Amino acid sequence: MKLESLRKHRRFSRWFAGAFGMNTVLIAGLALPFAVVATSSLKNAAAISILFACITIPTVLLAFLIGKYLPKLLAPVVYSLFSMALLLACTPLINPISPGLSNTLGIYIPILAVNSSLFVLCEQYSAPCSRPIFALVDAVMYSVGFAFAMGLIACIREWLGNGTLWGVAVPGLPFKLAGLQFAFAGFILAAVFSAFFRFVKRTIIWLYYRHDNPLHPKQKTAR
Amino acid sequence: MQLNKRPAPHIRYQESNRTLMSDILILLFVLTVLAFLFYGRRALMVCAVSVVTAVLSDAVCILLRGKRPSLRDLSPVVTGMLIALAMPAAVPYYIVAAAAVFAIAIAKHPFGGLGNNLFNPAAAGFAFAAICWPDQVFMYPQPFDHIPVFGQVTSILSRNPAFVLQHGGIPSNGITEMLLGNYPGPMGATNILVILTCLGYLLFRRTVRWQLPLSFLGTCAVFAWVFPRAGSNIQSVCYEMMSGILLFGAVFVLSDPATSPKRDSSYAAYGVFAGIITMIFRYFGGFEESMPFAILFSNAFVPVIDRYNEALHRWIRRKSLETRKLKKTQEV
Amino acid sequence: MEHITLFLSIILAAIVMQNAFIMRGLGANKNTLLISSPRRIFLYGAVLTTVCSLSALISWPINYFFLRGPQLEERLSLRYLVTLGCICLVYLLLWYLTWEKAPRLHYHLRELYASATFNCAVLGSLLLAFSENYNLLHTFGFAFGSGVGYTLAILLIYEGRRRIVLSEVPRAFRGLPIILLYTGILSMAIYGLIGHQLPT
Repeated sequence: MKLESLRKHRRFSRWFAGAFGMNTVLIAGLALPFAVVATSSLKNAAAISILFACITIPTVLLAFLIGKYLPKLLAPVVYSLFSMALLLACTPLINPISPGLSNTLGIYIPILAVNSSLFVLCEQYSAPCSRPIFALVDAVMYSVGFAFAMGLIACIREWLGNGTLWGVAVPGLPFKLAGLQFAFAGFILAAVFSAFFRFVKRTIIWLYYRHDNPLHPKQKTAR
Repeated sequence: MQLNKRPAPHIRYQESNRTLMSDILILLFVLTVLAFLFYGRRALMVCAVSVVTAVLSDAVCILLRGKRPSLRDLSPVVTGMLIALAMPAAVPYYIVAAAAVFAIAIAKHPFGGLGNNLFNPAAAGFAFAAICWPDQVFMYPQPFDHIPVFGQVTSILSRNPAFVLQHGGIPSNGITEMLLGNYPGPMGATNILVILTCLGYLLFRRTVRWQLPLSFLGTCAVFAWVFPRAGSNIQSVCYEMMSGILLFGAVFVLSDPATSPKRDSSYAAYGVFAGIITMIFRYFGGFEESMPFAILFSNAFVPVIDRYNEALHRWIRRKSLETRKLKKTQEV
Repeated sequence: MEHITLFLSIILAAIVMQNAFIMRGLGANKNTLLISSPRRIFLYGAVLTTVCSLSALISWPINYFFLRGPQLEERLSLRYLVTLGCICLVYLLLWYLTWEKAPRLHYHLRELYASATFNCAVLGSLLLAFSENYNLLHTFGFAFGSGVGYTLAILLIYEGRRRIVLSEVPRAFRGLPIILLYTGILSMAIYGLIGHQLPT
């Protein structure tokens, strides 16, 4: 069994883990409430993704810097309060997207401060690690992956459910599936995309493996 | 000695997926013929669209899973027919098609396909259509109205008695009329007498165990008697049982073998549970016909009912064994 | 009598129709969805419900006396911060109390405290209750109901998982996706109770 190219692929894809191989929402299954509910339109998804990036990157860096000195009991308190303060400072950033967006999103903005992917990343990088650069890389990539998943789900939901994209009517849709605007469609779409990306990930790994270990002609005929 | 070369099982029970499904299909064909008599060719077309979409999406899903589709599997046909017959005859075709695709591709195959599905596909498809297009799904044409097969439906659409009940009124339809199915409603679910005959046939053929539909209908009747919504207690029971798709659902959807529990006593418990949930959904729900939603909700509790009933049975058996042992020792 | 009915109906609504997990997706993440034993789910739910109800009691007076009326618009961010602060306070308090008074209980719960407290369901349901302008008792009822509803939802999903293990689920759907699909269909079923006046 030769695994050279598979290992090479692993080493290379580690840099993009949060975005694809270990996508925040679709594969790691973190921060699901936003992907389920706040994706009813592309604007909502963009706003949430921007705020997610604004709080995740500084908070993970903070955890990386001072995590070692914090007792385990106090760490989540510090991280959540810090990210809430950041969040409140960054909320005006989403106003240019559409006025009144923060009212539409309601409680989904403040609960970003206690989302699960933030705590998972903080916990991971508050312990001493061999390659510190990955604290920054992962924080950025998890934000990118989150935005990617949110955008994907929001596109489908807004296009099929409302006939628009970014608030602009898209012609050519014979009928609207209004049900896609409700929370259950978020769950179902998240599940379908999650299954799809798992399949793609598996297939890529399998292809790398087969590249090094081609099937013996006899095996081929047996199959 | 002659050995059988074929792999096990060598002795098969007569009943199979095919016999169960064909039993139900025969009855659904009867209902389709009645729908044809009531609403003309449009009814047949709705059924055809639904069945073809369901069968095609089933085949595609099976191919995607890397298996070979089997022509002997009739379950997508049944799902398609159930969805079509629960809809009004004037429904646009894309709604039926969307419901059938949702039923097969979301509620059936991801959970493992035939025999493994946790939620009833037909109920899920109908529920999806009801949420997406409530105005089209809950507006029914009058029986014997002329509905064009293609193009805009111009006939007057009206509401089912379930809508009147939900808004606290007493339906103006006569009981005899309702028994004969001569009132606006879902294509296949208005012929109460025929559906009752179907229930009799299914019980006689043992395709459906009597514990499930009877306990379900009994619970609904008792609920309607104790908390009447319209008029006197008897009136309330009659209208509740005959409006909407309650009876149709009880006979054809609730009794789906894949989504019902295993033991006879679990059947009874499931029937009572589903009955209570259905009536609660009807009384407090937002739609006039919440039966499919209630079926989906109670489907989620089937594993719980199965497991706890099994534990209860084990406990009873252990207790009786203990008492028998105790008696024996006392006799000695 | 009327008050009791209203109180009970708020609790019931928080458990079923406004279920934090099934209807709003709050607190959905892989770690809570895939908890492997009912005992752990009960403990997790108990901690979550306690934190939720206690922080409702603590943060309600602050919200009621300082953060309402016309000045709320500009102080909304303060409400978020104060509520989160109260949750943190309850977390520290509970941790200390069990550590001091009931060390055996503390031993079982110590791993669960952080993940149950800093769960979207706690902050989310408290903020929902405040935006509805409930009084103290009703806020408490809503918070308590949300906690109980969350626990029941996770338990139901655990039962569903036990059944799903037995079926032939396609490989790509195994694990998280099938649980999400299960929740989605359950959520769709409960939408039947809400009906025509569906919120978006």
